[in-house]
Amino acid sequence: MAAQREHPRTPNLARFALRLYALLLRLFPLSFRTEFGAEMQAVFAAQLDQAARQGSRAVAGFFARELTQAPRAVWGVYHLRRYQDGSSAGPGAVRPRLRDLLRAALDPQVHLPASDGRAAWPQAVLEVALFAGLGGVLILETYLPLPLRPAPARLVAGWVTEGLPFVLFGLGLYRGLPAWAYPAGGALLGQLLLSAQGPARAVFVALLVGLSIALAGGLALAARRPTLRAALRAELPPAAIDLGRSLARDWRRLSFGFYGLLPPAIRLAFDDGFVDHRTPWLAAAVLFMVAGALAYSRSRTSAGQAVALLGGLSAALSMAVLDHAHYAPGLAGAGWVLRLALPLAGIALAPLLAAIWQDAFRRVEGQE
Amino acid sequence: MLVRIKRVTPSDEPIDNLLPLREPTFFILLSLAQGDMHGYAILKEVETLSRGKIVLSTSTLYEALARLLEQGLIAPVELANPDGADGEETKHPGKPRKAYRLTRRGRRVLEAETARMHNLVLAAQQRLGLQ
Repeated sequence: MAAQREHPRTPNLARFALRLYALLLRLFPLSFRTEFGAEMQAVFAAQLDQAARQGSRAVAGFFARELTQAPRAVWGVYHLRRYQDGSSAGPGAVRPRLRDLLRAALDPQVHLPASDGRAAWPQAVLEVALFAGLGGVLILETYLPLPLRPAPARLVAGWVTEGLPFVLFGLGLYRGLPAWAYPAGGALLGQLLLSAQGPARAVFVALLVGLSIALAGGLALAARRPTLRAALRAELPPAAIDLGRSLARDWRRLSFGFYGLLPPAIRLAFDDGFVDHRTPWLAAAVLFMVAGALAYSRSRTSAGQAVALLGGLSAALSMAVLDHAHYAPGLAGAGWVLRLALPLAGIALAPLLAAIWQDAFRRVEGQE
Repeated sequence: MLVRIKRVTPSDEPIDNLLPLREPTFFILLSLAQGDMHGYAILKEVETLSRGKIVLSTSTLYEALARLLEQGLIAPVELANPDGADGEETKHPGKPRKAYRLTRRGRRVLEAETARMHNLVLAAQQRLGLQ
């Protein structure tokens, strides 16, 4: 870019600022960047140069102005393109429309990886194994009368609940993280979240969010920079490379991974009330959970996967509301379950919805 | 009888529909009233005309320029000699080759907005006895 030509007065920090600004420009639509990108970078460089002459206060004010006004400008530009005639939208109205999103959600994914439940029933059974295993333990713990539950059996049940996700996830990492390992990761995460209390939980969540953003940003950057990808491939351990490949193959799997939070969520929603439990609702919740997982494993469209996850999750947690109502008439328990279900549904669906958006975006760019 | 409703594109919109102008937009058009300018010059001119009250970021400026182009109030022009009269490289690397010109429609909008504000000021002065 012309703005990044070597200039005798541009220090390293200024070059770094120019690179950051180039990244910021990617928030704008492609057609806008094509038309104005070079100019904007040149003007940015000129303003930065002038601010640098005036001192650090001027530079700080300049950066603050650029950062605070950018979101509104981005919104304004996207708003502009809406008024263009759809049939002659020009060289890049790359914002996907509703019909693009629906098409991306409903088109079957024909190029399936070999080890995938959508392609083979045995794989689907493996993908559902975690939910069936943990659900089975939940049912035994809840409905088996106490005299029939000796201490050793309760111990084994605890091992299965704690250990099954750990084993499956470890095995999955060894095998390059196939689809069946993702829910195990989610279940492990759920157990960690449940065992952390108060401030520790908040710190844990903050760390997790921060790491996820850093990982997503790193993956996105590596996807765009072949030299960086090659360098990372040389430096990273094989397990990390396999993780990247697994995600790159189909990162809808992250949604399935977050669905793995459901077994601990069911345990929490039913208040651990396993002593002489008489309502059938926990069994129904487990059934819905397993059915949702199986429907997801076999669904070939993004829309089908989203419906399966959302259906399984909401049906399972609705059973907890009925269970609460049995012991305490009224919908007092409903609010609490809703506070659990809504964030969980949002987290589980976010990767799927982002993948649909990305597919629609690619379709629109491919049509330009 | 079928009535054809012509879809109004931004450049066909009646001038009155574009008023009142936002302050930054007004100053951008005002700066172009003097002559063709590229983006950086517009930024500086807006700051000068507004006496430092309006300092635009690059993103805001170009969002405004894109909107004004769409509305037909300005038009892009190629600079004849972006590297200066004697061909020497300028102080700023990558000086843009594109400038902007106020169109006839843009001038009419600017005049209409000026007249509107003038009427406002007159009414206020009469009411407040400031004349």
